[in-house]
Amino acid sequence: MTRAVWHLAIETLTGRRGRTALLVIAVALATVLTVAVAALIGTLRQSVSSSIGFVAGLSDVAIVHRFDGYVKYPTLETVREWEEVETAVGRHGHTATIRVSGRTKPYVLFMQGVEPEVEQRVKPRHFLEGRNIESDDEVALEQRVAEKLKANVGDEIDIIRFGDPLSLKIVGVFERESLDILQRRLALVTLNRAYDLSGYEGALKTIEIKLTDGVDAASFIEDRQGDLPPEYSMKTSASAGAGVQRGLKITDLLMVILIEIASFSAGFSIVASLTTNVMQRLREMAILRCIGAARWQLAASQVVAGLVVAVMGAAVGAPIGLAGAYWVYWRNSENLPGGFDPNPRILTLAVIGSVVAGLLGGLYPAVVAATARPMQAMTARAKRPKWRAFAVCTLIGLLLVSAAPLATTLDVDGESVVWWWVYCGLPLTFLGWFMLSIPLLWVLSHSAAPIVSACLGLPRALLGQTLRATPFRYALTGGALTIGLALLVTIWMVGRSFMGGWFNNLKMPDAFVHINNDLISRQKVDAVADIEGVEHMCPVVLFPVNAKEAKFGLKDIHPTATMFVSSDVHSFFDMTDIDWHQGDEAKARERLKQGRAVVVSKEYYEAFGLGEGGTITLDTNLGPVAFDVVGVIGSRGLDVGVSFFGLRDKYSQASVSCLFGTRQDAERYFASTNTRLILLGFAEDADEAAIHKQIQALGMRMHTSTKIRTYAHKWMERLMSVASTVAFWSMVIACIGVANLIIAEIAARRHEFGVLRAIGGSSFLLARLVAGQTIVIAGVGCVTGTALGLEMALMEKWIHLRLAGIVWSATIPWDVIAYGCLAVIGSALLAAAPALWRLVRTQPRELLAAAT
Amino acid sequence: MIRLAQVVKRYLQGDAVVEALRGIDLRIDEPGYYAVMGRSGSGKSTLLHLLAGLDQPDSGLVLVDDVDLAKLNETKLTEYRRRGVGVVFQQFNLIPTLTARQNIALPGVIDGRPRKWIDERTDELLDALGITDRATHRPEALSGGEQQRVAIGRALLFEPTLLLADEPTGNLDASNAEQLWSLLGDVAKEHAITVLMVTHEPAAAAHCERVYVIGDGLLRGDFEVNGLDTGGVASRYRDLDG
Ligand SMILES: Nc1ncnc2c1ncn2[C@@H]1O[C@H](COP(=O)(O)OP(=O)(O)OP(=O)(O)O)[C@@H](O)[C@H]1O
Ligand SMILES: [Mg+2]
Repeated sequence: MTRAVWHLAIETLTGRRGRTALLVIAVALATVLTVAVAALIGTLRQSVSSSIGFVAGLSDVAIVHRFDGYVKYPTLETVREWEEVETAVGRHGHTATIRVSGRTKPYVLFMQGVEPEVEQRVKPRHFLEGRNIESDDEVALEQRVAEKLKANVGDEIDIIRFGDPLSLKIVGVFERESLDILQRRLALVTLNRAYDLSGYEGALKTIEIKLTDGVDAASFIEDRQGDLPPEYSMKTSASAGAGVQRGLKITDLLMVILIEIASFSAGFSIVASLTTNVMQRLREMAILRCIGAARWQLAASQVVAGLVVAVMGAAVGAPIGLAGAYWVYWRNSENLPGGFDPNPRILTLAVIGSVVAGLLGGLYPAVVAATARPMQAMTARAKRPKWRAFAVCTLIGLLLVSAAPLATTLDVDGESVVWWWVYCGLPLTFLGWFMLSIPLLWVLSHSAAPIVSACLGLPRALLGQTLRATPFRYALTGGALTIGLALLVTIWMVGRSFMGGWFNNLKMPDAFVHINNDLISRQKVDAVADIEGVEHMCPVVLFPVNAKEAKFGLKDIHPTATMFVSSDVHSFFDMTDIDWHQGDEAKARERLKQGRAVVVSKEYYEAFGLGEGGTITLDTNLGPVAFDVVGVIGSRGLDVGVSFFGLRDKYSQASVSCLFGTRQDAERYFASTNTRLILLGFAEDADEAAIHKQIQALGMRMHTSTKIRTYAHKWMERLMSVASTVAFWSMVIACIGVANLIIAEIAARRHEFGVLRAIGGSSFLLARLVAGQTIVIAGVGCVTGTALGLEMALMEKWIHLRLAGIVWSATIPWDVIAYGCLAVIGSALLAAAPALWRLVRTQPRELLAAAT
Repeated sequence: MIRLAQVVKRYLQGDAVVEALRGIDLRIDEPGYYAVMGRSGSGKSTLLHLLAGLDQPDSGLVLVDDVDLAKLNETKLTEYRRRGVGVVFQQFNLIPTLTARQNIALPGVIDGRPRKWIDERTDELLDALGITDRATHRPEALSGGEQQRVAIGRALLFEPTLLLADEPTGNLDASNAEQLWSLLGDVAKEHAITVLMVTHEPAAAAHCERVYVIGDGLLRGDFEVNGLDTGGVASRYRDLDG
């Protein structure tokens, strides 16, 4: 009995080898796509993971300032007295611009200030050349840095900085750190030298602790946290890697979405093709039923056929995808220190995606096969489509596509909706629009078909009625084109609306000045103020805080902390025009000065309704404190600037919202007073290039708002082109379905076409007929694709609002939709072309010879 | 009206060459109702295909109304098929997705005739063929005999001078077949056209005026029916076919 199923399945596939081959290619392409991306993401993941070791080092516990300030040196001495502590080291790093003596090229590197001997005990470094540093005038370079600089032990380097010139002697070159995704170019100097460079005497960035054997890190933190000033916090090494873990979660999310896209593209293509196949063989199936085949056998044979196609496609596609990924890795191996690592879990997921696609693809044909009635063997023609099936498809389709928009109206937190959307809503919506292609084809056969007929000069009734005769296979083939177009529409709509409707409207100061991830010393702030052409300037202290009422982002992916931005009230608000969305500027200034008040950026209002008159509870040094919200303003691009320069630690801070408070409050409630960023306003006739040069001479970096905008636009373009590539491949996969359908179509209707020729239809008429049919079928994909694209874009808009408070006005990208539809129709025609060409060249008698 | 001279048609079957027609000569000068008889594989359908302009001979001459079909280019040939000749096959003559009415109208639509002309012609034919009440049905809902009537209607839309039928009753029962045979005879008479019917049934040939017998790709001979009954036709046919 089961042997029969296998037999039937194989017969289904070998009966039409060419078309089976096309199907396998479709699945293989989808698998290549998923496997390649999965393997690359896996490789990236490995590189990121390996940097956890780097971030955490060998220490067990780290002490840092909770609000991004410094830990004072005496704390290190206190900690060293504790009995649980075997060794503790303090570090103070600073970015510096250097130049090898006698050469001209400046080079930016990260000077890690350490206490050499103790450091060596916590984090031993292997010296390839020379020795460890011993005095303040010495420096040791990391191997890569030395190579890049072509510097050797004994050479001197000059530090370009504000104030007295300074040279250090290279005494050693040490082996590259454990795999470091951050790619920081590292040099070691003494702590004293680092203080000297940053201008913050006695301030440590971190204290790292190695505990004596047998001491548990978690209980140590619990016991000792109270002995430290409240603004300091202790973390285990594991939790120090939390930010990296979040980065991994993002890659996971991307991958799930990508795999969904690829598997559904392939799945739909398989559904369409197998359905076409089974519809054609309905007569055969009916005969099989007549001679006693059971329903389940016929159904199972279709599922097995789908699986065989999927497994074959996966078997062909997986190695090609892997090879492709390896090639990309090989070309970028410099930047991927984790090595090539196609994570087996991810690969399995990709292959499972393909297999599920096959299963899904076999399911509907299985239903068709199972419902073949023995009586059908007797009637000459396929039965008319069943209205009930029609109605059911429409209903389920409508239900599925409205699930996501409905979910957003429920009173559920945004977080759950987002996860639901990625893992469940998105596939359901794909499926929904795919099903809606069925009623849509019926509608188009009445509305678009007459127009296409008129344009192509076809007998009016022929096209529409042919389409309505077997609507399912045509509709599903058209529906398979949905995802590619939808992707295109979404990407462009979100990209453009986001840039045009939000990003471009951000008001930014003329320039931002910063030193990578470092604090800016008082002297440097003053020096910047003295630069000619700088009219306004506002030094900003910023650090992450947790707010009870406003948690942006996804728990597992972003930290829910927001940025507390503080500065001198006057310098901040005076700088240029600020958009006051709520509140009165004069009153707000007064209130801010009194303390315990903040102005929030617009995003708080949009996402949480938090506006003037409300309060926001921040987790301070002194416990939770309620701050009054005294105004709502546009963020002046601070949020973008902050994320843009990686001023917050890349892997731990990512939310894009800001609170504005006073410097006094920052000091009082968060013990944080250090400047990280300077906002600049230029005089009208300022020479930007000259200012830039002077800032560089101070060892700092400047980004003008123009540069940020250009960069952001470029970045967006790159993102859109990557996504468009995925969309393109999705379309290619779907077009294989179209090719398959047209081949089948022509094969099935040879005799009919022969009759048309016999009664005086030209071969050109046949070509137009099939082309017209292809156009209407592709039209189904155009409509469902556009609709799905718009729906996904609106979901994205909603997610932006709920998770980031970002509001952009959605503009429908009509031009992209038009080009996309042309591309869909064009590629469908292209896919149909070879079969059409053969049809046109076939003699009428040969067509007639085909037994029906 | 119809003239075939030394017509040869070969088919390539793998490596083997099959000579379906081996230099056949045939002449029909007067409109009327004619039968072509012969054994299976004797070349009857091939002959019909050549006359219908569906295929070209390898050598020889095929003239219909003094027009050499070989001299027509693709466009002219298509026009000939549309307006100059009508064909009815044994089965599956109709476009399955179109109704009876739409099937009959199809050549007119392809030809770009005005709607009104097509409608009038179609009504006339539906009426003449006695299938007006089936006009909106699709082929699957029509009986075999009705389907063939629709096919005849479609073949007659442009009032061609030649109507070809290849075993049109092959799928019909005796009484339906009987009706169709005489219908074709009426058509030939009323429209004063040539109806050429391929058949292997003496009963069908008995309705015709003259029977041409084909064997092994050659014309074996012809005889006038002129009052012969089925048995008579059968014995004349046997004489000629050997
Ligand atoms: N397309 C083809 N390819 C090869 N051989 C063909 C082809 N069509 C017909 N033949 C051969 O040509 C010969 C004549 O065929 P034709 O169809 O004209 O016979 P027929 O008299 O109509 O037979 P029947 O009564 O069975 O319909 C036969 O031997 C047939 O096998
Ligand atoms: Mg024949």
